[in-house]
Parts: sequence; structure tokens; C-alpha cells
Amino acid sequence: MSTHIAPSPALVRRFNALAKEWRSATRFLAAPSAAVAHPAYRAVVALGSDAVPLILAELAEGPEPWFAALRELTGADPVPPTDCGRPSEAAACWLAWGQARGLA
Amino acid sequence: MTPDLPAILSAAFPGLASDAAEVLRLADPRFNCVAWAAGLSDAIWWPSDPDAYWPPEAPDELSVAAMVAALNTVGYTLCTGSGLETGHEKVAIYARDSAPTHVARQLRDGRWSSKLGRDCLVAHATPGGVEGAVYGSVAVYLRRPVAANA
Repeated sequence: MSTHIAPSPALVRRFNALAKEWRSATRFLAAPSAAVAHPAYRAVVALGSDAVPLILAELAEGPEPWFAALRELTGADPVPPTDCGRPSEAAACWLAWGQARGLA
Repeated sequence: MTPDLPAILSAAFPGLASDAAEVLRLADPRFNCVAWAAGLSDAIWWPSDPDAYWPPEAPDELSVAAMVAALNTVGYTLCTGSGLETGHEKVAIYARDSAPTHVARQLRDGRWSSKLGRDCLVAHATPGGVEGAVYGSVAVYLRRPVAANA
């Protein structure tokens, strides 16, 4: 298990602001790929791996399409092909992945 | 006019306010409009997307033709017009700049239902209720038979 350091308050504030902006701007888009191309989502990815616990916490609240960001930031993909396109199952896979590493 | 329609919906879809719109389900990221058209409420269908399902029989490209092919796999075939037809249910594929953006599904009472991205599911009187800047306009209609007691 890796050592997990809690994100700084500044990072949490920045993440929350970006996540709120992203949710609002992309809420009516049908395509996950369009949502993840939004500048606010890209800015979340640019926060780096310290944002991973915050993203996992978002996923625990609801299966929003954070999967692309997690793949980019971790290099992992714990979602089997059979669960592709099934957000609840994909979120559960990522949360299990995070819990195994002390990140969720 | 529907007084309870959230302001954010009226702002994004001005046609809803005059289309007797009604929120049927609150925001839910577990399914999108294409899956809803296919009869599912626990999946995301979209082409060329690593986080979405797409029927392997359909072209994996963002086009109206690919959307039609995907809906062919669940029994829909092209038809003309949005009118309610006994024994059939219909879907409408919307496009903007030739790219598909949305699919609405007709309800048994003749109204239409739209899952608005990750947001809510709304009923609206006509397909025009969600036409506009966000989804463009209806490109094609499809229909499929439904069982009499379905």
C-alpha cells in the first residue's frame, strides 16, 4: 500500500472550483468524451496525481465521468471491458482500486 | 407553461417552457439519452468513447448514420414524422453541424422524453422542445414495434 498524504486546502479549493465549473458546463452533454475535453476537466488533470483522492471522493458521491482523468493520472485502468459504458460498475472498480492503495 | 421547470433548463432549452415540459427524474449520471432510447437506465451509449458502450454492429464514428445503425440493433428503423402511431414507439435523433448530439424517445401518451446528458430526464410535448443551441434540430425519426401490453 502506498503512503497517502492528504491534499492541501488550496488544492481542495481549486479542485472543488474546477469540478463545479465542469459539472455545470457539461451537464447536458451526452458524450463522456465531450465532457472530458472541457477546459475545467483538463485543468483538474493538470493538478496532477495529488488530485486522485479528490477525484475518487467525487466518484464515491456519484459515477460522473472521472474515469479518463484517473487513467491519465495513474496509468491504471481497473475497469474490465465488460463494464465499459456502465458508470456505476466502473466507479466501483475505481473505488476498490483506490481503497487498495489508501487513496479512497 | 410549466412553473416548476428549473431555471437552468429553461435557459439551456428555451423551447421547454412552452412545450409543457415536466421533470420525470432528477439528474442521474448512470445513463445517457442513447441508452435511454434503447430502453436502458444504467448505461452510457456513445461512439468512439472509451467510457461508453457502442454496439459492435454499428460504425464506431460520430455520425447520424452510426447512431441510426446503433438503434437498428434494438429494433428501430427509419420512419417519417413524429406522430404517435399505435403499436410503435419512436425516437428522434438530433444533430448540430451534421454531428449527432441527442436522442429523444416518444412516450406512450405521445409526449417525448429526453435524458439531458448527465442531468435530468424530462418529458416534453414535441421533439421541438429540446431543439436549439445545445442539441440542434431533429435529423431523423425511427420507430420500432411495441407489444400491445408493453
